[in-house]
Amino acid sequence: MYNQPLSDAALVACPHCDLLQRLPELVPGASARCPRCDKELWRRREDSLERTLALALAAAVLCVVANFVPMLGLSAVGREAFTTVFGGAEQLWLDGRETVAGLVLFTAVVAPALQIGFMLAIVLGAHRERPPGWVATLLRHHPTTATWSMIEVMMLGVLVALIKIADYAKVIPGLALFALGALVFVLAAMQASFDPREVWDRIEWAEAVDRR
Amino acid sequence: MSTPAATAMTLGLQGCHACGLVSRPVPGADEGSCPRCGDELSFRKSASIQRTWAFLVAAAICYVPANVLPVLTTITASGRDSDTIMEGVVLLWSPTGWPLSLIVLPVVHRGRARSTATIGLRTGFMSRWIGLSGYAIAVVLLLAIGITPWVRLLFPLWILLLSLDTLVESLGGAPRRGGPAEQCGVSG
Repeated sequence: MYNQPLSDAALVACPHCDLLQRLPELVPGASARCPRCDKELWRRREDSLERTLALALAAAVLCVVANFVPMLGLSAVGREAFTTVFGGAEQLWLDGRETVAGLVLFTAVVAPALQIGFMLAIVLGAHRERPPGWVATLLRHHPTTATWSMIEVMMLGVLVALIKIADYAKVIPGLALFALGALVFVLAAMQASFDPREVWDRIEWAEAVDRR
Repeated sequence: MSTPAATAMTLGLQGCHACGLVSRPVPGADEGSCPRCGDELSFRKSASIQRTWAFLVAAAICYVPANVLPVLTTITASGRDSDTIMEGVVLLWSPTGWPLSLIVLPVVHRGRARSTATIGLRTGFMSRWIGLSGYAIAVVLLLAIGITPWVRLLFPLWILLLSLDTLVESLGGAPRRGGPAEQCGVSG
């Protein structure tokens, strides 16, 4: 059953301390904080949708590069071998470590791809005057994809493994490693430039979609 | 503040954690869905304090073996080599490896399997940009340290940047241009 909306749309409850308050009009770049607990309630981003679209497209390109070109090469006793992120997960699977392989594949390949895909769809859908209901669904689940996207954790793991292995073989960083490094930044910038409130304010309500 | 703080709950309202809309449950119902985004709403997380206690105790118990027992064993032609997290930190502590070691070390004390940068990000201590640049600098240091000695300056530079950011933030500088939101005039 749906709750009843209030007539005053500017009323918000602080997500940390639940204090009820009215959001002021903000100029781009400014932010509003809860007077009781100092939680940032809203930061209005400059040119949010356009910038997020640009960064999401850049992230999509980097994501493709990061997954389809070699990430690491090893050179030992005159032989060289290269592998991609996907190849690494596949090798883990073949070695009988199915759970680890699944986790690597999900957090380093699937979740980032979903995060970028969701964001692209949201921003493109939000270009309409009244964004349709499916944009609301994607927008609601987007934080989950961002939570599971752990490229930076994988990078750290790769670095530690590299140090351990450096004594036994020569390690050759591949193009994908640099693409992943750049992707960490671009994804952070994409999340930071996005202002969900701008989309929520115009979206078609779940209640209205259900009644149709 | 003249009137006691009016929270959404004391007024019988629910704020949506997904989209931020404040709405009122239909009369007689305790829980409902957000009319804008469809997310489920409730006044309280169920058994919040009890669950937090349970997980806290479990985490404290896991923390001990996590640091005392080996975390990784490397088997090579020259033999077996088991390392605990602390031994790993010591292993990384070398003229070129020390910045990476500094990044791994605080993980031990926080009991969380991520880096300084991650801890900074999650606690809100570092702004997102600074934290994430920490990861990138770790990568650059590792891969490029042999190419030019100047790269070594990156890590002190990052610390400087972090200190400046913390200083600006604690002085209540730039980020608050908008000022606090006005408090709503409704009283309980």
